[in-house]
Formats: sequence, structure tokens, C-alpha cells
Amino acid sequence: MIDVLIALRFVLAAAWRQSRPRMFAAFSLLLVGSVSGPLTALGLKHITNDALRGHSSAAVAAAIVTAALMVLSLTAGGVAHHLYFRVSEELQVWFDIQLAELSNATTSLAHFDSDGFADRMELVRQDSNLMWNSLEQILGTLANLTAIVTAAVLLARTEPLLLLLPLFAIPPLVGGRWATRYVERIRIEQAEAIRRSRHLFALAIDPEAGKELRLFGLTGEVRRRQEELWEQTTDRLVHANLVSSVFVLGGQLLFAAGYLGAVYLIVHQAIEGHRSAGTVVLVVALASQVNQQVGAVVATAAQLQRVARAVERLRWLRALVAETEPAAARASVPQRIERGIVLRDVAFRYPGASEDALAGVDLELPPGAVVALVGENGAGKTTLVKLLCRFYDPTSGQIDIDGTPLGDLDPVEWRQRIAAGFQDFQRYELLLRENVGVGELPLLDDDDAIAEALREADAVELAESLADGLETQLGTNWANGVDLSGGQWQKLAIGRALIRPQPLLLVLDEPTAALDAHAEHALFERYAASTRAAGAASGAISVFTSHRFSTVRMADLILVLDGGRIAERGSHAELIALDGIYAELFSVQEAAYR
Amino acid sequence: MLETFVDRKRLVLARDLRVTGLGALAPALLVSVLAGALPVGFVVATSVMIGALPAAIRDGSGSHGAHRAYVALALAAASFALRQALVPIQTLTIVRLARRFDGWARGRFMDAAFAPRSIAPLEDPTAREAATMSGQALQGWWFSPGDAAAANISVAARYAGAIAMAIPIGILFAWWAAVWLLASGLVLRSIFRHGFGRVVAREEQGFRHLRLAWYFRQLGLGSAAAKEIRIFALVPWLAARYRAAMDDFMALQWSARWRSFIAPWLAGSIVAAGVLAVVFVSVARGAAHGDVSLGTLALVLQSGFAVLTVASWYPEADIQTAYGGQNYGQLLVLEEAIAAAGDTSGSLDPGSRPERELRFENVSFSYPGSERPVLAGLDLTIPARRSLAIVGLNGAGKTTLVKLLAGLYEPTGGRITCDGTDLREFDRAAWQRRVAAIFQDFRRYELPLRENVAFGALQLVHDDDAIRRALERSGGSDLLASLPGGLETPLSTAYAGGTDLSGGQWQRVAIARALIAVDGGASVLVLDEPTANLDVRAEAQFFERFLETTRDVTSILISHRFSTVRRADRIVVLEHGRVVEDGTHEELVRLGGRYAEMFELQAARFAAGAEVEE
Repeated sequence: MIDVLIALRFVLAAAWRQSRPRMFAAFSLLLVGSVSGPLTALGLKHITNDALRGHSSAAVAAAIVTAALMVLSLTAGGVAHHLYFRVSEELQVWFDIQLAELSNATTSLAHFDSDGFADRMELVRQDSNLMWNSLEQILGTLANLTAIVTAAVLLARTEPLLLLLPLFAIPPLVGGRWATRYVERIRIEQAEAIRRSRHLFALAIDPEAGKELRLFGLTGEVRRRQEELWEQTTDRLVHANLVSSVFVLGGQLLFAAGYLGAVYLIVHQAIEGHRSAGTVVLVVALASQVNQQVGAVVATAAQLQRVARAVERLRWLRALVAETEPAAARASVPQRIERGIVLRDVAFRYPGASEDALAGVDLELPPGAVVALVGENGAGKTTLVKLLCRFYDPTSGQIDIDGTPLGDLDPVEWRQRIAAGFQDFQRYELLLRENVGVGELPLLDDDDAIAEALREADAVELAESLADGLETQLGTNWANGVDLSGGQWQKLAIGRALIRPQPLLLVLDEPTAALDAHAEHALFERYAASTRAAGAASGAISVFTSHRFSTVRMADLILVLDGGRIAERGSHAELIALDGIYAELFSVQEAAYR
Repeated sequence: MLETFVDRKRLVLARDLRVTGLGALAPALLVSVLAGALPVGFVVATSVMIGALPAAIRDGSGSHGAHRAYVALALAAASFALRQALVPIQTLTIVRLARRFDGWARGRFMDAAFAPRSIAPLEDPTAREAATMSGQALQGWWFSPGDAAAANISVAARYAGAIAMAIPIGILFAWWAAVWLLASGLVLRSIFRHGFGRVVAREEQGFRHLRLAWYFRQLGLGSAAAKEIRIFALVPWLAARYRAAMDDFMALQWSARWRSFIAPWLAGSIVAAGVLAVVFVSVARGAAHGDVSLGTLALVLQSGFAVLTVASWYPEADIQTAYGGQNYGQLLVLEEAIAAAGDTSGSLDPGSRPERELRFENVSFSYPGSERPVLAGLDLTIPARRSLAIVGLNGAGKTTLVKLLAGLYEPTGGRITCDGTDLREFDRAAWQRRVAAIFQDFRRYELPLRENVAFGALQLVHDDDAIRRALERSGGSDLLASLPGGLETPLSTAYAGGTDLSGGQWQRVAIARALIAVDGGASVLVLDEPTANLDVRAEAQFFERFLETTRDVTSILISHRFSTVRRADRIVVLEHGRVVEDGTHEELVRLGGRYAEMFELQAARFAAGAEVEE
């Protein structure tokens, strides 16, 4: 109950901030609507009594007022509805932006990798769909409660005993809650089936899957499995609804008994001569109104519970962010790197993992160095890159940037001096310009800067081959969107990484996996030239990972990772002379070119 | 006015409700209409009770009048309780109906999407948009066709209730009052629906904005782009773009709401208030003059407004019919667009072909909606049971060539033949089964390892040996051994006991899928960049095995890594949509053309190393 109240306050306060005039108008209209409903019952009483006494003109006046009140109660709600509909949309935008800020705010990406976090984040994301009509639920409930209280006051004026009536609203509320819980439980039990049938269904829309499904003759199988899962879930959900309707039914019948008892009491008193016929009309009219309103409150109670949980999760995320947000920066990021980056006995273990991804890493990266990370899948290359970007803080040990611990720097400021391209780069289904420009937002409209980045990424021809040039819409999401090949997307990701001026750290994680020989060669020629230039200008250090030894050898320093440790280090010539892992892997690839 | 009540989509929806079957439809309709009409019983009974009161009060308890009042109260109680009991049952029948309908609509959607054997029709812009909209709704992200279909039943219940309420007014008081009330209620309702319909239609126009907004929202909320968002500090930008797109959408919508909705509705409400006032005044006057009985007065007062509430907002139905109906309309659009795009298939059984060769004859191709030719006058002969490697720059058309060969697209010019027969003469589905291909963007099925492999040849799904063999050949044996649930381990952490695989591990699973397809009868094997995610040792091992396992198969390999390409029986270089070089590795190196140049580029880096050491 407390959680619902907290959520109520939270949503109303947020909505109020979005649009005061609209909220004020919507609230006033709802109030007018919900009070005028019960008042019409009072009107009916007066019409009846005046008519029975033969007071024609009084009855006519009461009739006109009552008719007006009735239509008002109908209209006010309808208009209010549209006012807060608009606020609801704004509320949704606000909530989503909050969520985006929070989920991207924390310094450490570590929690993204723990299972519990991913699941909860997924829930928070789904909650965001709930926000859209949370305001409607809340305002509707408040309106109904106002109407119920107004009705209770009118009834109590007639017969104080009737004040007990609201107690009868408790069984349907409890019954409703049990019912929702039960259905929710079955829904959770069916979560895998629901998810899988959704996955199989989504294959039908996915053009990539479309190719495979046709070639392997899978379309019928996928459709059949999807249908089977859907029907299984339907059966379980319908059954759950059947069981839960028993709870609802019990609650509703108890409520009906209470209300009919009240009507009986008043009718009995009327027959005894203590009540007018008009009073009976009043009680009967209120009875059916309140019945509807209680029904509505019960129906939305479950929704409110969900909103409460959504707000709770948002607050959880806020607390988590506040907790993991680092202390204020104790040092500022240097303008240029004079002494290099030093790692001392650095170890890292992913949350929930049983083994270290990196252990005992001692390293010195001199200013201006081009560093290559080599190793088999899972050796820890990407983890090391992530630590340098400060997506994670080391579990133990320390990373120093020019003598200052990385932990003392403001992470946002540090990241502003990093240029990076990742293995799992994003394909932004936006304009070509934006795919490169988001790498350095201030340069988004700078054609020269974007052209230069495209040149460095060997993507000039690509841009020229597209009819709309930089303004070409990319991505199959859009009707006019152009799709690119894997290698072409990768070139754009590299352009995005290279557009940032004057970085201190340049990171490329498997930058050429999908590139052709020409592009790869061109990229590395330019990469070498520009990183050396940057190194000379600001002491920038570049770090890249690759499985292709032909490109690795150009590095000043090659680090061979094996099982989370640095197994070998040195220049290409030194490592070949060492005749260890590097020399062996190199010869495996080299052999193919002899 | 009539057409606002019954627009085409709703008619089609109502007609298609049949598919849920009488067993689901009849109870839903019956219970809903009964629940809608039962309040009349309560109103009539309580009115009879109130009418009996003066006599009861006059004669005291135990009199005939009192008896009559109590009996009427008992009847009112019965109809009240019955209605209370019906409400949860109504919910149940509606849920069942919606699920049934959606199950059917999902099947229909998949049938439409899977119907064409080529995938070009799916890439038609109209089809693509319609598929996105109705597809999202059918996945439960938005109001679905089933929601709309079931909500129609609720609407019927509302109308039934209003009509039932009007009838006693007509019988006991005056038909003009019944007709006026019902008519003004329905007019008000139609104004409301018409306005809402226009708002929704307007939203359809603004859907472009909304989809853009959703895209930015998903970027900002998802974890896929988490690293880039942090490095490039993208949150404020994403938020601003999201808000701007939503603002565009909302501005469109809000103006539509005010003009076509709120204003006319307010005017309609004033008219309705007038009608209700006239009826109330007339019945109150009649009662005051003794022309109308107390019971009739109570009846009209109670039910007059109830008739008018037919015009109110139905939270259980209005949004559902509007948006669910819209999404249903999109499903129809999808079906029409796919049917219009056409899909041809011959009837010839390809049998065990190719026995001799596959041949591209002057083949040209550009993607639908694009003018740029990807292939231009391509001639290529692929001998059966040999291996062919295709190399070329990014975007040279390598993958496209394979898509044409597999019948996923049709050439825009020229023809492709198999042992002399044009591919178009084959039954397309049967021909596609001859081709086993793993593309760069292979699928990761949220299913156990068993299916992820055996989906290459469904008939082998229970053949553990075949699956193990395929994994062994793709280098996936270690993976299988490392999985706690073996073949039954779901390959996604979203399922109990499931694991997620690394990029390299997935690649091995996908290759196993293609290899088992060959065991299952396919004879053309296509691997598109099969080792992009493998490390050096794994790559070398894979290619050693690859040659053995594919000895009797026509295999086509696309790769940028010349170390792997050179082992193929034959290599072709693709440039500007045609074959520019063709031969064995040695021949092409000797030729000193494009291939030699590209090979040297990669090899030089190794050779340079050798020099340093010398």
C-alpha cells in the first residue's frame, strides 16, 4: 500500500512538472465530473419528492439541474481524458530520458554483465511502456475514490449506519489482488514459452532469418513451433483467468450482499414510514454508481501495483547509480601524455564470474606508442581495453595515466579524450553523416571533418556511391533506408572512431574483421601515419586488437595475452626471436601465404 | 454517419471473428450482451419497488404493497448479483477470444511472410512498414488485432445495454423519449468515434515520427550501444532527438484532437443535455400532475442517463478497437503488398542436380528500389563437386551472387542455369533445399544446441550422431563438451540452464548447421566469411578439415583472408559486378592482376617480417 502511495506521489509530481496548466485543468475537470455523478442521485431524490408532492415547478427545476449534472459528469471526464493523454505522452518521454541517463550514467559497466542486473534492466525497460497510461490509471482511481467518498457522505447523511458500506469494498479489492497475483504467477511460469514464441514469430519479420529459413526449409517448422507455444500459453493463461475469476467473483458477491443489505434497510425504513420514496431513489441510484466505481478501482488496483513496482525499480536504479558513481575527480585529465600509461598488478573479475578475466598485469605503455594486443578468443584482450576506457574499475591493482591514478580522473572527461571503435560496433540506422558524426557531436555538421574521417576509414567511395551522399538514410528499418554490407558498416564505425580530434587514447578492437584486403591495408597505412602524428602531437597511445598478424607486426609494442595474463611482450622482431606463442601463431598464418 | 459506425476494417474484423470458433465466440457474445443488458433488470425491478412504496407506506408492513416491494427488491438483488457474477466470466471469455484471434492472426502473418520463396517481396517498402507495425502489435508491444476483435464484443455489450435501457422507457413512458435519448446518445457516440478515428488516422500519418522516436528510445535504453554511448557521450543527443521526434508526433496529434474531437464533442454534449432535460422535465411534470406513476418516474430517472452513457469513453474497448484495428489493417496491407509483388516458381524437381555445373549467363542485378547495379553482365561457370572461392572488395557483390544462386532473388537480366536448366524452371522451394548456406549474419536461435545445429536438416533433429559429427567437423566438439546440458542446452541465458556463446563459438555452430544440411541432402555448400570471428589456430584447423569434408560437394567460399582462399580448386575475383579474374591460386598470382595485388598486400606483411629476420 505504501509503495502505491509513493508511486502515486512520484507520478503526479512528475506529471505536474511536465505541464501545470494541463494538469490543473484535467484535475479540475475530473473533480467536477466525479462529484457531479453522486450529486445527480441527490437531484433524482428531489425530483421524485417534489413530483410526489405535486410541486411541478420545483420538480422541473430539479429535473433541469439533474440533467445538466449528468451530462457534465459524462463530458468532464471525456475532455479531461484528452488533456492528460497529452501529459501522459510527455511523462513517458521524461521517464524514458531519465532511464537512459541512469542506465548510461554509471561509470562502471560491470553491472551490465551480471545476470541479475540484465534481467532487472529488462523489466525497467518494459516498465517504460507502463508509464504511458500510469497517469490515466492514477487519475481515474482518484476520480473514482472522490466519487465514492462523495456518495458515502450523501449516504451517511441519510443513515449513519451506511457509513459501514465502504468496508464492503474490501473483499473485492482483496479478491482482485489475489486474482492478479495468481495470473502474474502463471505469466512468470510461462515466461520462457512466451519469450520463445515471440522469438520464433520475430524470425518471420527478419529478412536475414528469411534467407536461412528458406534454404533450410524451416518455415513450416518455425511456424508450427510458434503456434504450439502460443496455444500452450493460451491454455495456461485462460485457465489462470478461470481460477482467478473465482477470487474476483467471491469479492464481488460479498460487496453486492453489503450493498443490497443497505438498500433493504432503507426500503424497510421507508415502509415503516421513516423514509421518503425520494430517499429510496437516492440510495438505489447511488448503489449502482458506487458499484461501477468500486469495480473500476478494483480493475485498476492491479495496474497501480505494477506502476508501483516500476517506480520502485526506477528508484532502485537511481540508488545504484548514486552508489557506484565515483567520488568527485581529484585530478584533471592531462592535456598531453608525457610519461605514459602504467598498469600495476591489475586484476579484474566480472561480477558473478568464478575466475579472473585478467590477473597480475604489469605494463608500461610509453607516450606515442602503438600497442597491439594478441591472443586467442577469451584471452582477455577486450577486457584490458575496457579497463583502459574505464568501463570497469580493476578488482585490484592500479592504472596510472601520466602518474595520476585513473580512478582519480573524472570518467566523463577521460572518455572525452578517447577515440574508440569496438568489435560489436553499433549500426546506427540514421543518416550516413550521423553514423560518423556521433563520434564527435560538435562536428556533426562539419562536412570537412566528416569527409576527412571517411577518408581515413577508406569509405570515400562508399559515400560517393550513395545517391544522397552524406544525407543518405541507412538501415532496413526505414522505407527509404539503404542497407550496407558488414564491411561497409565496419568502415563507418572506424570513421566514427577516427573523427575525434586530439585523443589521448585511441582504441580499435578487431577493427578489420569484415574488411577486404585493400581496405585493411589502406586502413593500417593511414592508421599508422595518423596515430604516429597524434602520438607526436599529444603523446596519444593507440591500442588495437587483431587476429591478423600481418597488421599486428607494425605495432611498437605487442602484448600476447594468454589466460588473462601477459605471456609475452616486445616488438615483432623480439617476439619472433623469443620463439614462443607469438612466433608459433605467426608462423601458422604466415605459412598460408608462402 | 453510417460509415463512421461501420468502417471497412471493423467489418472485416467482425467477419473474421468467426475464426475463433463458435466455442469461443458464442460464450463471449452471450455473456457480454447479458452482462450489458442485465442492469435493465435492476432498474425495472427497483422502479417497480419504488412504485409500490406509497401503497406499502400507507398500508404498513405485511400489506400487499409491502409484499410487492420486497419481491421487487429480491428480483433487483438477483439481477444485481447475477451481473456481478457475470463480469469476471466476461473478462475470461474476452481474454480467450483475444488470444484465439491473435493466434490465428500470427499464423496468418507468418504465412504471408513465408509465402514468397524469394525475399524480394519482403523488402518492398510498403510491405516492410506494414510488417513492422502489425508485427510489433502481434508480439504484444502494442494493441493487437485480437484486442480489437474482442473489444468489439464489449462494444456490442454497451450498445445492447443502451437499447435495453431505452425499451422500458418507450413502453412505460413515451416512445418519443426513448427514441430521442437513444438517438442523441448514438449521435454523440458517433461524433466521438469519428473524432477519435481521425486522431488515429492522423497518428498514422505521424507514424514516421513515432518510429523514429522509438528508434532513439531503444538506442538509449538498450545495452547494445552502451559502450559507444559512454565514449561519445551520446545520451543528451539521443534524448534531444527522441524528444524532438515525439514533439513532432504530439503536435500533429494534439491539433487533430482539439479540432476534430473535443470541440464537436462539447457541442454534442450540450445538445444531449438538452434532450435529457426535456425528457426529465416532461416526466417530472407528468408525475407532479398525477399522469405518470411513481414507478415510471423512477424508471425514467434511472434509465434516461444510462441510455446516454452509450456515448461515453469505453476504457475496455475504444483504444483497443482503434489501434488494434489499425494494426489489423496493416496485416491486410502486408498480405496485399506481398501478393502484389508476385512470386514465381517453376515445377521441375531438381533431383540430385547439379551433376555437371552451375552457370551464370550475363547476369545483372540491382536491389529493389535501387538503381545501382550490383552485378552487371556476370558470366561464371561453377563446376559441380569442386570448390570455388570468391574474392573482391567490400560491396563487390559477392554475397549478392550467392543470394541469386539460392533463388532468394531473381536476376534482373540474364539467367542462371543448373546443368543447362534455367533455375526458374525448378520448383523454387525444392531448389533452395539443394543449397546450404551460412551468411555473415547467420541466425542465433533461442533454442537448444540440438536445434541450432539440426535446423540445417530437420529430419536429423533426433540423430545425435549426425549432430555430433557436424559439430566435430566445424570445430565445435569442445563447445559441446563444455556445455552442462550437452545438446539440450539452450543457447541463450534467458532460458533456464541456458548459456550464451561467444562470437567464435556461434560461428562454429552455424558452420555445423550448414554441414549437417549437406548430410541431409543439400549439394551446394556456401560459406560467407565463415572464420571472421575465429582466432588463428581455430581458423587454420577449420580449413584443414573443410577440404576433407567437402570433397564431394559443390562448395563456394567467400573470404577476405587469402590464406584460406588459396586452397580452393578455383578462385574468381569480382569487381564492379563482374568476374575480372578466374583461375587457380598459382595461375592468378602469375597473372599479376587484382588477385596477385591483393594477395601480395597481405602476404607482404609476412614477407617483410622474413626480411627483418634475415
